Amino acid sequence: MENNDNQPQETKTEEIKTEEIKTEEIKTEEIQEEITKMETQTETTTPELFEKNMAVIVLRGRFAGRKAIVCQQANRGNDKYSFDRCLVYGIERYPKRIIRRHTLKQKERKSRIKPFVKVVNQKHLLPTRYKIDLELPNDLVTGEKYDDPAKRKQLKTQLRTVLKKQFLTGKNRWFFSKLRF
Amino acid sequence: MPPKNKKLAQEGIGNKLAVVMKSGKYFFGQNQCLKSLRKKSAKLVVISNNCPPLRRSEIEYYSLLSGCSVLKFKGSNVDLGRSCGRYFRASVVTIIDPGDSDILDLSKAN
Repeated sequence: MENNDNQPQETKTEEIKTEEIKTEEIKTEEIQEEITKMETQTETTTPELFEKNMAVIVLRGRFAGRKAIVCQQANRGNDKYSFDRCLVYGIERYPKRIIRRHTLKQKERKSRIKPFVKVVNQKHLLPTRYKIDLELPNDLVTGEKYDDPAKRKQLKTQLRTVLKKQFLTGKNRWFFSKLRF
Repeated sequence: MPPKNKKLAQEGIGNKLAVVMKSGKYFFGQNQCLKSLRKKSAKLVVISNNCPPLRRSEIEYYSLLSGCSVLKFKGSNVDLGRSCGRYFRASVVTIIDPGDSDILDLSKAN
C-alpha cells in the first residue's frame, strides 16, 4: 500500500522537472531571438550624413582638393580610431585630357590613374549631395584590406585598372576631372 | 504696416530663443554647428545676417544634406548674441533640443 502511494508521486516530480527544463530552454531561445532583433534594430536606426557611394572632397592632408567616394562609414568607438571616419577611395593623379589626334600609345599613357585609399576623419571631408556608383565589386575596397599594408598595395594596383576602365567608358566625367580651385 | 510686423517678428524670435536658452540644448559657433550637422542631431541653425558668406553657404549646404532647417536672423552677430543673453557675438546658433520653445514651427512656416 505504501509503495503504491510512493511511486506515482515520484513520477510526478520527474515529469515536472523535465517540463521545467523544457520551458527554461524555450525561454532562453526566445530571449536570444529578442536580443538579436534588438541589436539589428539598433544597427539600422541612426541615419548617417556620409553614406556609401557619396561623392566627397578631401579637405586636408596630402590629398586635399581630390575627389573621392565613400566606401564605409564608422563612428568613434573603442577601436583604433578615436574619431568619426570614412574609408574613402579617390584619385591622386588625374588622367590627362585625351584628344583624337593622340596616338594609341599616347592615349594609353594619358589615361593612367593613380588612386588612393584612405581612412579620413569626417571633419576633413566635404560631403556633397551627389552619389557616384562606379559599380566596383563589393569586396574590392574593405577596411580589412586597408589595415594590412601588403593588401593595401595590392588594392591600389587593382583600383588602378578598374578606375582606368571606368574612365575610358566616358561616364562619371565629373569624378575623373580635376577640381579647379 | 511692414516695419511694425518685422519688429514683432524679431521680438518673437528673440523670445523663443530665450526659452531655448533656458530649457533646451544649443551650441554657439561654426565648429560645433558642423559637428552636430554631421551627426544629424541639429534641429535648427540660426545664422546672423553678417555671417561671412563662405561660412553661411557651408552651413546651409550641410543642413540641406542633414535635413536641418536654417533660420536667418534679422540682425548681426552682436544682436544674435544679445538675444541669447550672452555678452559675446554669435554668428551661428545651433539648436539641438528646443526644450519648451516652439521655434522649430517658426522656421517651418518660413
